[in-house]
Amino acid sequence: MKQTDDLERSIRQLHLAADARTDERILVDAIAALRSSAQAETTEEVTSLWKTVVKNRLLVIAITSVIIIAVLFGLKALRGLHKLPEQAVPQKEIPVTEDRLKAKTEAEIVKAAEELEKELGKIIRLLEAGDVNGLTAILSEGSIQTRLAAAFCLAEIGDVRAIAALEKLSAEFGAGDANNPFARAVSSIKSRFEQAKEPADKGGIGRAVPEGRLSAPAETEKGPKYIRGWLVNANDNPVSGTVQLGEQKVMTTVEGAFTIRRPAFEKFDAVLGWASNTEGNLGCFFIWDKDTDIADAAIVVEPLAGLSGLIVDVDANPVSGFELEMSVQMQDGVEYSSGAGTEGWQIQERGDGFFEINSIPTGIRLELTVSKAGFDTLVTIIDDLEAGQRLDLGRLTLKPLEELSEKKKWNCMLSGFVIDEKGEPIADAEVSMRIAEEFFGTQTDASGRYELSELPEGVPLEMIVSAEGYGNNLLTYTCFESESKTDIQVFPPAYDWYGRPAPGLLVSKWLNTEPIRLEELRGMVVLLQAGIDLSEYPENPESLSSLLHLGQMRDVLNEYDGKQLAAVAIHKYLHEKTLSEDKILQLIEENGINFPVAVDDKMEAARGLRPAGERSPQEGVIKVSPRGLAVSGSTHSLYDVKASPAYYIIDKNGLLRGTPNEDNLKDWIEELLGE
Amino acid sequence: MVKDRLLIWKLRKGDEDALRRIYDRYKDDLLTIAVCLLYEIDDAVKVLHDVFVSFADNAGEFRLYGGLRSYLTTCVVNCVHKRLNSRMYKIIETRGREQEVSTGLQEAKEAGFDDEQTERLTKTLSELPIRQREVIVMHLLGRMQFSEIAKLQNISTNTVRNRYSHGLEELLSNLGGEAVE
Repeated sequence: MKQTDDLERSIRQLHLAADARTDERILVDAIAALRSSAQAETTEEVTSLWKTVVKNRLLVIAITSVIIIAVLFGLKALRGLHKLPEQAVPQKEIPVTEDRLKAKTEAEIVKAAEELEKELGKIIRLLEAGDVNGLTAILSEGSIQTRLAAAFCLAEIGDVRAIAALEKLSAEFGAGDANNPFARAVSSIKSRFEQAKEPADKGGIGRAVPEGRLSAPAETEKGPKYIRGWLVNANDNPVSGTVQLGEQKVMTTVEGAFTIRRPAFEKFDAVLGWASNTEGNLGCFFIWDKDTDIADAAIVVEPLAGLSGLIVDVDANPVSGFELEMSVQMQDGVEYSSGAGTEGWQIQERGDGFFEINSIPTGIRLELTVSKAGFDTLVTIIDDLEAGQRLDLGRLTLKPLEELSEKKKWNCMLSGFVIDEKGEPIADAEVSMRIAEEFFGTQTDASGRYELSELPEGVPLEMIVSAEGYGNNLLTYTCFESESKTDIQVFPPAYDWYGRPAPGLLVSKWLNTEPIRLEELRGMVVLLQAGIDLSEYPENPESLSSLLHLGQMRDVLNEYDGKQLAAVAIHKYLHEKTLSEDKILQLIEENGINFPVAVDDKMEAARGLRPAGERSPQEGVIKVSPRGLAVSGSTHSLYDVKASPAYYIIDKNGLLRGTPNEDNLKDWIEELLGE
Repeated sequence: MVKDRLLIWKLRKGDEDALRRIYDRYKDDLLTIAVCLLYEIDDAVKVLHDVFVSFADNAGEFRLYGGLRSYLTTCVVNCVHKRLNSRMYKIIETRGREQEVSTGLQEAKEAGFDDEQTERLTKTLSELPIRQREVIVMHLLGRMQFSEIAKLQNISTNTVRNRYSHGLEELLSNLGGEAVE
């Protein structure tokens, strides 16, 4: 066994590395492949915009007509316009450059349909990009169908810059307002402009909308929710580029206008978005969850900031091999999603302790974390970085963990309640923390309250919470403030399985019986004991205790002889131990253990086998992970064995009902036998 | 895992820096896996090259359903299979011409290993039957679970475990009963 363990370790430690030249060669080829793949994708996207593939050319015309009508009706439905004119084509003709609908031959019809298809595709792209200029251009030079489509799209975007061109077309159209689609588009834009005069930043998008800007909340009952906006610089001059929000990326018009879908918010109040151009990042903006209406976003583009510094140790020697992370922090009670924005900034480490972070947005609180194994994690908060500022943080010192005891930052206090699965406080629970050789421990009082003081700041601490019936629960906690209040909720072992079919036993060997499965014991109450360890008998007290508990279970079984009670014990997975399986079997037989005992399987098999829909904790409480402290095997992991030995009771239907202790074991047995 | 997902997201957008970072993060481990499967370092480097070029080529459509390490490990294993098949073909083809084909039995120095013990272990590994070799390498170096390996190879977890334990036993025996320190 030891040889196998050593061999496994040797294999795990194998490490080979390619030289720099090989790395470069591989990367050159891979990047070339990436570029060529990106180009091919763009071409494919453009040509496959219309996903309907038809072989019958005449069918193209019918489908295109359906699409045109669908666009017209669809846009109308979004904005609740009056019903369309009876005919899709207006009665009164508008001078057009080409009259495709008058084509007579099939070839001409097909050609016309193809061109129409292309133009409609272009219009859809312009709508998605919020390109007012592009759509306005179509109003003056497109066919009647494309002009109608462009008009509806402009009404959808709601940009007042389109009003003049639409009014001109409307005058040429000449019909009364009710039947004039161009006039209706103008009305729609104007009415939105009237509706939203107040600045957008009461909802919190970017900066305030200056007077006279577009502000047109769209109806929210139907259709997708869009954000419309434009990029401007500090002098309010338009800037063109790319806007990125979550996974969406859209190009702006040359005047900086864009339309982007409003993101879905999960647990964040605001989502950080980015604006960039070919030269790099331009700025950031926030879209707030509380914006239920669509409001325009005036994104003031300002130069981004940068940070630099040098990581050193306590002797001022540069430190390399550290991990550096920066994230957006909660501020003023608002929690930002930084996922959409953090990719924008660039962290560069030179390998000699020097680091540089560029393209940092301003106006938000940032947390810079530097960590390295063996050192205390360094956290620095950066507030109010100014636009264009290059801040040199100077030397940031990483302190070795073992030197902590000589330092003075042991001034944190942690207090709270230890509560059970029902949220009830637990008295006399042990709460202890360990860091290196230092140990801090306490017990909860009658009200379930604990208090630990003089804890080190910013150091991850191993915390163990133990309570009768709840075993030993392990968590990691780091104090960042001088006083913290944290409640800790613990659960009985395998709590998530209560009331559900008991997990199967994943064992490597049955010591004293043929293999059995829990399913074979249906109809009986099953008492399962896990955490048995006889491998160091008689020297280790744990092994002595295990044998004792096995004997107790034997006695209980004998007491209920003839009743529908079965017992099974699971021995911990045998690592390097002194007693072999044969010796353990001998011990079991000598002590009259008359129920099946199996040796647990290795850990890996149990991973992933969790019940669906785990119970969620109370808010503001740390829910302790239900993992046992020791890696004792698959079944132990599955049953969350947190103390040795542990009892589980399974009813006649195979459902796990609870984790009895020695005091209430017989009560449990009686109850389940009586069912 | 979260970092991998962010990198994949960037990669799908064509971000070259993301590709570099993924390469830097996994190249050594993947090269080690390839060497343990193939023994010949040159071949292993070619495998690494092919895996990353193919990965970059398909970046736009890539969707990460499990772990990136597991995915790349699997790519390496598949690529090794192709190489072994073609190598076998070369051996068969050239036998008729009575040419010697290198089977990878080289001295540590010539083979390009830094130390004799590493060379000994990788050579002995590479001499195991391919199925046992794969399971050992994927589990210990690729950090894949038995169930994951079983799913990929379309076999039962027990079969994977058996191959693993038999492979280790044979490896131990071939090493003379002593693990390399």
